[in-house]
Formats: sequence, structure tokens, C-alpha cells
Amino acid sequence: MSQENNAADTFISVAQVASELFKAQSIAEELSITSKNARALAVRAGSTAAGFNEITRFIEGLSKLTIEAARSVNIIAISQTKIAANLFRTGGFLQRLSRVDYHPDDVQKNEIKPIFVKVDTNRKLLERRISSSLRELIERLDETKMQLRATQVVSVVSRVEASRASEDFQDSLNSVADKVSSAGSRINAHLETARKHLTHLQY
Amino acid sequence: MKAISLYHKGNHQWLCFGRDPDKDEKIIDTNQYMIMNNGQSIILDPGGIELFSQMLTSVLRYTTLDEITALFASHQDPDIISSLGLWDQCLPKAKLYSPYIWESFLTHFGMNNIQFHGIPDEGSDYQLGNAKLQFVPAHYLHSSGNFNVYDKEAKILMSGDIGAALDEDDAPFFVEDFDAHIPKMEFFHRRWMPSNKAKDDWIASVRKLDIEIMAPQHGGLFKGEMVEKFLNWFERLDVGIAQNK
Repeated sequence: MSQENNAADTFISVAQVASELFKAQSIAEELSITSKNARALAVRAGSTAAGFNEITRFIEGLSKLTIEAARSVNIIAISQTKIAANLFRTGGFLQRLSRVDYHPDDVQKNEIKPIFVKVDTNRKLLERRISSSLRELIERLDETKMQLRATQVVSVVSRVEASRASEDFQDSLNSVADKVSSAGSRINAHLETARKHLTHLQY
Repeated sequence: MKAISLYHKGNHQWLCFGRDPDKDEKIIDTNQYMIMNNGQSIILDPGGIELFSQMLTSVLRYTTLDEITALFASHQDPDIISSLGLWDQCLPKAKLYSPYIWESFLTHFGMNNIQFHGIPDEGSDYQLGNAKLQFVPAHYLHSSGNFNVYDKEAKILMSGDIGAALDEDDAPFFVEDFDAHIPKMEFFHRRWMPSNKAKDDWIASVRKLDIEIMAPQHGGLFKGEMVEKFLNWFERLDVGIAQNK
């Protein structure tokens, strides 16, 4: 794959990662509302749902974690897309410069060579920045994915706590557990898709 | 880059992207638009090369690359379409709709994959999914080959540089005080628009359209009564004057 194509592939893939995280962020915002509703429900359910009240704090924490991860990934992704777009333009410039036809012993060649060297050095710097930024992006995605595994545990514990609450509130509390589980799976699916967009990129 | 929805009914949606807080201050702020209908999207005046990354990231929040079937460039200016060479890498099957006179100029921005469709001087219709859009002639306002996009269903006219203003980066998306807005657009219209006749012809043609939102490429959008206020103001304005700052 040429350097230009590789750079173009990078800005497309990274923009797609940002898009997936934006969707994950919307789900996390829903999760935050679920958590607030659950807290109000636990208060109404009284002492039998006291354990549930603690769980809602944990759900809120998970939601915040996802929102923060989405924000930081978005910042990395936009910066990465910019670097890749610059790399694409730099690659195109070098390619065109190398096509310049010189006369033998032409002074122009001596004038152009330092420009080529300077831009090529910049290209290598951009490649190194992309490489390190890609690693950062992948680490951030993997880290968020690991932390989100807790949603399934929260869902199970929520069900246990729901079964302890008075019967009037059990359905509502189980519904909260369902929502947490579903949100966790959907966020995870977006993180998976985001990760897949990066697997083929090589620098 | 911020995004707002201008219209959303069923599968038909208009989005406006702009007011980018991370933009370099030397770059003029621009409004980019995307219309989506039944799995097809068109980006109107996709913007300059320096805004490409933010635009790509923003549009992918709402659509996929496969669904972006077309780009529209109202005219040939760099803040409108200098990103073409980069979009060309992302949208190899897309079409670019632009005034036919600009084909050989726009190619300088890099167009190896995207297919150019020249819009004839009299304008034409464009089918996006189930929506019918109109490319409305706006020649010499300011470019010698120039079009607006009108959507009868959404009642939105994307007016390109007509109605453009040099607003603050954090200004609201919609014009709230028309009189306070005049100084932000007066010099631009007097200096950039070369022909009173072209201006009058355009005003007469758009007065026949039912417009709820007039959406320029720079600055605040005009909604409701602000549209008529703009047309009345523009009608009275003497354009094509270089020395009157």
C-alpha cells in the first residue's frame, strides 16, 4: 500500500472510531438517566432495596467512565485524523516533487533537494506521531472495554437485589438491570467495531 | 465542530455543522450542511482542506461513507471545496454536483475517483432518496457560476455566500437581532457581489419559494421573519462597490 493510501485509510478509520465512540457516549448518557431513575426507585422501595441504592452509584460511575472515554478518544481521533490528512498531503507533495524533471547539472536540483529532505523528515515525524497516537487510541479502547465488563456483574447483582425488594418494586428494578445489561452490550459492540477499524492500520 | 439539526421528519433530515472551537483563527468560519434521506446523504459545500478532519469525524456520527452519495459545491472557492482531494479518497463512488463551468478548475483540488456532474446554468433537480432537491441559479452572487440548494419539503434554502456574515466563532446558529447582524454582512455583500441586476433577479426568483430557513455558508442562519427581513435589506443594498467599506 502506498504511503498516500495508508494515510487516507488512517483518517477514514480513525474518523469511524470517533463515530462509534460518539454512539457509545449517547448510550452512556441514557445509562446515566437510568441510574438516576433507579436511585429514585430505590428510595421509594425503602429499606428492602437499600443494596440497590449502592448499585446505582456504580452504574453512574460506569456511565461517567464511558462518557469520559468517548470524549478523550474523540480528542485523540480528531488529532489523529488531522495528522493523517497532513501525512496524505505531505506524501502527495513528495510524490509530485520526485516527478520534477531536471536538466543534467541543473542548479534547480540543488535547490529542491533540501526541500525534499525537509518535507521527508516532516513526513517521518508525522508517521511516528501517528504510530504513537494509534497505540494510545488502542490502549484507551481496550482499557474502556475492560472496565465495562463490570456492567454484566452489575446487572447480575441488580437482579439479586431486585429479588430482595418488596414485590411492588421487583419488576421495575429488574427492568433497570435489563437496561444496564443492554447498555453494556451495546457500548461494548461499538467499542468492538471501533477496535476493528484500527486492526489493519500499520505504521 | 458543533452540529445542529435544522429539519427532521421521518427519514428526511438536514444538519448544519460549524462553529468549530478548535479552528485556526486565521481560517474563516464556515457552515457545512448535510441532507439525509432514506440511506442517501449529500454534503453541501463540504468546506476547506483545513476543516476536513473535523467534518469527516462529524458527518460519520450521523451517516456512513457508503451512504454519502454526493457532494455539492455551490462554486469554486477554497473555503467551499478545497477538501475535495481528501473526500476523493473517502468517497470513491460519490458524485460532485457543481456549476459546469468550474469542472476544469475544481479538478485542481484533486479528483481522481469522484465523478463530476456539471449543473447547467438554468439549474436542475436532484433526487436524494425520496426527496427532490432543486439547484437554484444564483450566478454572480458572488461567483460567476453559482447555485443554491432548495428543499421544498423542509422549506430550506441553502444560499451559499448570499446572507453570509463574519460572525463570532461562538455566535448562535440563528440570527436573533437582524439590525445588529447588518454590520457583519454589509461590507461582504457590497464588495463580493458584483451585480445589482443579478441580485434583483435572484431576489425575484427566491421570493417565489416557500422558505422557512435561509442557510448561508458563513455566519447566522435566517429563520421565519428573518428571511424576509434579509431579502428586503438585500434588495435595498447597492452592490458591486469596492471603495465603500
